Amino acid sequence: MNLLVKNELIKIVRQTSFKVMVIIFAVLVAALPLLSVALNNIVDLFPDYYNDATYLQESAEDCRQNGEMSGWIFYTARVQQYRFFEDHGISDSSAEYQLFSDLLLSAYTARAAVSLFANGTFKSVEDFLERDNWNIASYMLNVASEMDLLESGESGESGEAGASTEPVYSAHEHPQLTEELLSQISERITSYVSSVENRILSFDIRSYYNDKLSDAEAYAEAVRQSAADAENLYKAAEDDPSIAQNKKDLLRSEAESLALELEGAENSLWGIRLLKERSSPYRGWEYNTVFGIITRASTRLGETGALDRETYEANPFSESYMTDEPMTYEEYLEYVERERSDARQAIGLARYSLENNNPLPSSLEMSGKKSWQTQITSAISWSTILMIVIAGTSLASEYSSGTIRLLLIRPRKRYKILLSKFLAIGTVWLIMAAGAYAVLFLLNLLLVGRDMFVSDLLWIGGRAVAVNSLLRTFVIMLEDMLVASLHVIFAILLASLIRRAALSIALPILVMQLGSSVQYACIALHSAFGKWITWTPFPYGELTLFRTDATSDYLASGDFVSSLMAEAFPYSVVRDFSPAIGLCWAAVIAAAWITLTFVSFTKQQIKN
Amino acid sequence: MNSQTAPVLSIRNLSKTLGKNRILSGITLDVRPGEIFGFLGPNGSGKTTTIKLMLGLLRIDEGSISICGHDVSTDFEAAMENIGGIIENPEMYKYLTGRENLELYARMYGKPDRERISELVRLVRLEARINDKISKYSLGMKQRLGIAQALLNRPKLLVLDEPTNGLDPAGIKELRDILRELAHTESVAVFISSHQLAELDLMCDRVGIIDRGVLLDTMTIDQVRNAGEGGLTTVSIEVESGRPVPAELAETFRYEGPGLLKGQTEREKIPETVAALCAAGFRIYSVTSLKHSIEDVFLSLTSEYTPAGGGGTPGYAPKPSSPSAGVYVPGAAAPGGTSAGVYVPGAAPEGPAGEQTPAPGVDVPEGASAGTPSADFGKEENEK
Repeated sequence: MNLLVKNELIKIVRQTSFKVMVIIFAVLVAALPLLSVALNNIVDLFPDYYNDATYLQESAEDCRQNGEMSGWIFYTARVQQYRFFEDHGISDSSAEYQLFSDLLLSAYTARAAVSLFANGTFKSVEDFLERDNWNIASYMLNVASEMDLLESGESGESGEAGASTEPVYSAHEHPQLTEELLSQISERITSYVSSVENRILSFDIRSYYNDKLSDAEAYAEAVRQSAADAENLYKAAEDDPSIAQNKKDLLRSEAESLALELEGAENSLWGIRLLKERSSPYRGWEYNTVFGIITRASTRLGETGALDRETYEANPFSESYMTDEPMTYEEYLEYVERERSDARQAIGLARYSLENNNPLPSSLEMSGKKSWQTQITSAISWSTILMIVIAGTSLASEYSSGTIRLLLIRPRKRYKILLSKFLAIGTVWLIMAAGAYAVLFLLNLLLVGRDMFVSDLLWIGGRAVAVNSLLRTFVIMLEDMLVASLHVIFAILLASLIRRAALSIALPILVMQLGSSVQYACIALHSAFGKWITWTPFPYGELTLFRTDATSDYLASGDFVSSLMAEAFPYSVVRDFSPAIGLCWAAVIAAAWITLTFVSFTKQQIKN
Repeated sequence: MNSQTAPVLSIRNLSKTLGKNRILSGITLDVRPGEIFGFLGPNGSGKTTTIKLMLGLLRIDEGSISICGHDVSTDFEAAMENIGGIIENPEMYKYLTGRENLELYARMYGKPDRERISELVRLVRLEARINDKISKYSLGMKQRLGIAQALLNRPKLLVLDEPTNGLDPAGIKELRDILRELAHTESVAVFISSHQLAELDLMCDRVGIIDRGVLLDTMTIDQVRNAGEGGLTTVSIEVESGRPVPAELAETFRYEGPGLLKGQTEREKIPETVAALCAAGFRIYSVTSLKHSIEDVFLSLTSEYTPAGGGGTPGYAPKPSSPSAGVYVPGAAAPGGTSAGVYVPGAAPEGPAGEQTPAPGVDVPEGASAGTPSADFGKEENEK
């Protein structure tokens, strides 16, 4: 048998096109990490005028000479902002920059605008608005609200999610108000600018966390109180026969909802406290895990309390706005329960990650591990095409060149000859895959990120489990190969049946391409088709999409491509699909294909 | 070698249908060690099909083939250990060198024996080109390499399908020498199919003639030579022209042309004939005994039934206008169950070679080989 396999290996390797294919594959594989780096840094490929002080200065001067004073305001403010950060050595990735750069820009914008009124360039606010620049108007409003000149004042941390700078009114419609604001701003602008500058220069992440912590503590305390009240109210009502059942249901529902809200609040509190204790860097992985996953999932958890039946049925659309037809109350309960368990899963994984210093790939700016795993999936799918070509050619060329005759007249059973072909093709594929595994590992380690050895976290049986990442990635690769092997085996089956290379190669590639369309269709339509579709083989042409967890609903992960996929197919959409079902189907279908191939090959007659 | 030697190849009542076409009907023949058996027939007569059945490329519908006592259907591996062959053109892996191809095939028999490979390369005289890729080989070189690969396992039976295709005259002679040497010094039985009559004439010990799937006859080459009518030898005598044929010879000899007497006589009477001519004052320049070639036999056996090129109709159906050509039995139960008629040559009282062809057709009973011509010829051949 060894000798037969050796023969088949020689045939595969010595076919001239094999070497070309391997070279193409190697180049593509090596290009993957480079491409990934390029995609993630695509902004760097363009000239960065926004960070070019000379260019900004010249543009401001141009605008002034052309009388485009709004442009002059913008460029002047920007160049001042740029210089301020540069002079104080504050990088644009620092907390200070991210939190306060917009605030500082609006302060400088206001100062520049005000100076134009002072030196008489603008006579009136109409004059100002005529050369309208909505950006500048909105910056002005920002400053006004920050100076407490507007009632709807928001926190100035514009970098933070939720800090809206939407104008509360239209400057055009209220020129008087705008004029009034401008005059108030101009009175206080100098002191305001220096207060913002001081705030930046005296920024301390610890005090930042302190503020966050006290907010979270206050919130948790308030929820704790309400939850306890609701619980008491329900307990008191529970055994009181004079209270109607629907009233009791309402009370219970409220108590449960508040308990969930409290659970969320406690989790947020836990996370922020941890950040403060560790003095975690701003936008570091711990920060991202807490604010990206825990606080958001906690909020979601707090919303997953089920309404009581009466309230729900009074207005079923309130909770099922996504569907045309309202869910029944039972469906609604199931839905809410699912949302709740997803939120808990996300929190659970994030907490495990923080407790064990095991960053989730999505919490990292650049995750080499995530890129590596994504790229291996791509490499396997490319290698599948090559293997379809190699496998189809390997058998079909024996017929088309007539060598099949001299092959089959040897004292070896036909099944052994076919088996040797299968083994040789499998060996070549494994070597190619292992090569891609190693090359991609090294390149991602060098080029992308250093989290290659960080364990993968899986959610199994309601708790987080750490799994060795090198091993898991290898298993992922083998799983992908098992699924893809269907196409390769199909090519061999076709070659045995029709004895022509072209169709034996074209058809499996076509099926492979159709596979992903069918997969997307199944995912898109599975809410319409029902859950049964997750038990069929159709959605499992590839498994990547289904290897995800609830954290992906909150923090899109890692590199460019996988974050796109995570956005298109969040966990809540694909949660019903299981890679295990796909693998079982793949094994069953592969066994069927292989049996058919062996039957066909051993029974066939060589007529020509 | 003696008559008791078990046949290397034993085909019994072999029939084969492909699709709707009945390709072979009741072929029965034996080939003994050291014998070169020529398998002769027009294109499409079933030669290659027979060979493919022998090598397990086609499934045997009916009858059996055994090689060195191993049935091809039931004991495939053992049967193939003893056979080597080329089928149609010997197509090998073009992207490998000649030597690599031989190594590849050698591995299918077990550990490749480099010494054996070199020996075969020398035998087929490919030393100079053995490390070139097959894609650079001429057809003749491929044929020679094909013979080398067929001999890798030191087979007891060598099966060659049209091996002289693409060989030049020198190549054909070389092949002939190689085969004779193998057969006569190593006792390899050679089963060689061809539609080129002249080749077999010079090469074979025995020939079988097949047409439209029916084995019409098997005979030794001596029998071919002497296949005249009634054991008479045809003699042509070159003499000076103009003299009348002497009365005692007038019954048998007459002028075929100016100065060329031709007639049939018993071999023993040739000296007397010459003496009689001398006595009559003839000046004799040459006396030639005209031997039959395979071609004569082949054409006489097949001309009645075979349009040029052969092939075509299923079964073996003679033209209705040739009453002497055996009996066509429409709808006779053909082995394999096709509804096409079956030609039963033995049923013809005065077939073209009727006396020598008792029943190579469908009705030969299993185990009746002792009485078949092939067995007898084999004996003669062995006794020589």
